[in-house]
Amino acid sequence: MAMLRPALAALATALLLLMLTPSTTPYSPHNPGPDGLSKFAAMCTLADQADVFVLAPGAGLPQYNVSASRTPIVDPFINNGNPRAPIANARGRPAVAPNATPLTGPGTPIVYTSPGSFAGTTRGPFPLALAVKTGNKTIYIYHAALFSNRAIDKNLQLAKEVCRLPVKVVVADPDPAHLLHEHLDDARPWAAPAVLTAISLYLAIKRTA
Amino acid sequence: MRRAFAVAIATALLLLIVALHRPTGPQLAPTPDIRQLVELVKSDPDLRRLILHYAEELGIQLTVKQPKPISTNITLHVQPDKVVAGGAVVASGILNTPRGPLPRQLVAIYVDKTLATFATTDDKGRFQAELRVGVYKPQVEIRAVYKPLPGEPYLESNATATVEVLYNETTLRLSAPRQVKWGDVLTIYIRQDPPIPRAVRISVGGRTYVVETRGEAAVDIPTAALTPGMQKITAHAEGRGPYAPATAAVAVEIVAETPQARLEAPPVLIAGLPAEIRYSVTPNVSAVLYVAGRPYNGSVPLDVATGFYDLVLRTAQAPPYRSASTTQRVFIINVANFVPLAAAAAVVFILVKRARKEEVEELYREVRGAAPQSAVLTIQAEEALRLLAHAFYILGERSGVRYSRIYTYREYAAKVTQHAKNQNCLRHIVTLAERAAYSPHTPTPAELAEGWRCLDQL
Repeated sequence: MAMLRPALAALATALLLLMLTPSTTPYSPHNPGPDGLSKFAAMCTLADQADVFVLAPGAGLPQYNVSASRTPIVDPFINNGNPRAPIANARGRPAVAPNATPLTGPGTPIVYTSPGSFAGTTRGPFPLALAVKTGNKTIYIYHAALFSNRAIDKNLQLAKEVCRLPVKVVVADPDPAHLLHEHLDDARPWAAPAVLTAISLYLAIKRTA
Repeated sequence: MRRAFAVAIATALLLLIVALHRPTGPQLAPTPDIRQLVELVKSDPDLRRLILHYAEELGIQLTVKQPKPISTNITLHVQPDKVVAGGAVVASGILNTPRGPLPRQLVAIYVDKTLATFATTDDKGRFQAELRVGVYKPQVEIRAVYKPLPGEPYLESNATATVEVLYNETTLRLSAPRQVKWGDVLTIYIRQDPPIPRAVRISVGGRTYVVETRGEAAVDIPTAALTPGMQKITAHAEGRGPYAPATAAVAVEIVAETPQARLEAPPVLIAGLPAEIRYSVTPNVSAVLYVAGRPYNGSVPLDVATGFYDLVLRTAQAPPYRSASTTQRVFIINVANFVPLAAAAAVVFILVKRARKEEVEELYREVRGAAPQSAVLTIQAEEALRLLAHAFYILGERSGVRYSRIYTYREYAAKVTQHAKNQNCLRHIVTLAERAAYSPHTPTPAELAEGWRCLDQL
């Protein structure tokens, strides 16, 4: 019991810190850095069950056989001042995609890079968004680079269109802060009863002790 | 106490780690060489077209940066470096770039800033050309210039070399009389030193004469086609082989004489009529007489307005006589100019006469009004009153006192009688009028005729 209190205190402090600390995972909705999606998350409704996905490089959706590779797309001609920031065609409108990687998998490309873009030695165009038909509905999968904090100001119209429906962001290699925030989001409906139960249990144990 | 310290330290470390923990970019594979990709696209025209189409769809303007031009370097050697004027030298060199020699390029070679020839570089960038040095200067500059054709990615370059030219100076001397009479032949003597056979070109007054000479020569130049006055005569001999060109000049005065022209004409001439004009020219050279700027053809031109004009006698130039002229000022009267004036005077006269008639008529009505209204006037009585109206009009104009019916005929006649030249006439006319107005004895036609005659003497 003597060790339990410091252990509980340390655990509570760590959890509190993680809760207060932003995520460092690229394309995490809880990452306010240039490669985070915090601005996008503020615009949209994020949900665990959604028909619109935003996929970070290295992440995948095995159920739809779609993944985002880790090979950056380079466009020496049609870019936003940097070959690593290709300008994609998003339904006839330009969309900036810094650090974008090709999406691989079945589906119809709805956002794609120019024929003069390259991923490694492979020549484009590369899809940055896919419409995948499954059963009687269509799933939309976007590359997270389109909505990163460094790109969203230029792709605001596209982001607004995407955010009409609930969105699920899938990242690769999440850090603890990201995981905690994800779980906190999941646990939010259960938070009040859990806190009440914990306080009651604590008081009951203290009285019996 | 120790435990609390440990917890504090651990918390601080945790906070420090969190503070130092910064978001990183996504972990992606390395980027390939962009230049290789650019070259790949450049070499594929179909891909270029696809990219342009893609950019057009998005409304993106693609700008193509021009490649940086490549510098060139040209060298020039001339062999031999000394040459007798008119002799040949061989110019050679190499056209290079930092990437290697430039083959199949045109190099222009100038001798003393004049384009002499073109040479083409071979596969190793070398060029060679034979040049003839026909310049008579101690040092002549040979310049090789490479100027890339439009669209070539190279910069221009040039190189120079100097050739020493060996030649002999030559002189030309001209001798000519200081003066020559216009129309006479001017003989110019030419002397060359050293005496070499070549053509000497003589220029005078815009004309050129060429004479082949060896040492000395004489040229006869007709002066009739030249302008009188000082004439500069220049002679030039082109360089020939090792002999340099030479130039000389001399000034000759071409003297002309002035003919004597005399002109006599009356001071006033009538347009359209022949005029008595006498003129003479000494010596007898042809001359033309101009009236009001037009040649005189026997009569004064009819279409000149009345006014002063110059009568000019101008002689034609006939070497040795130059053209001369003499002028006399005359007044030309054109009668046609006065027709409008006469017409205007006639119109004025008619208008005045009509106005006067109206005034006399008005005065007659006044005179008639002064007569008893009941009286029935005969034609003779009316004529007598009309005669009186005429007389009163004349005297009213002279005296300034106009007749009014407030006066009797006799009262008004007494008022203006001193203005009448013939008072008896006035009295006769008044008597006739009084009889016409007041008496049954109307004036007789003879009396009336006498009255009209009197009116003229009034």
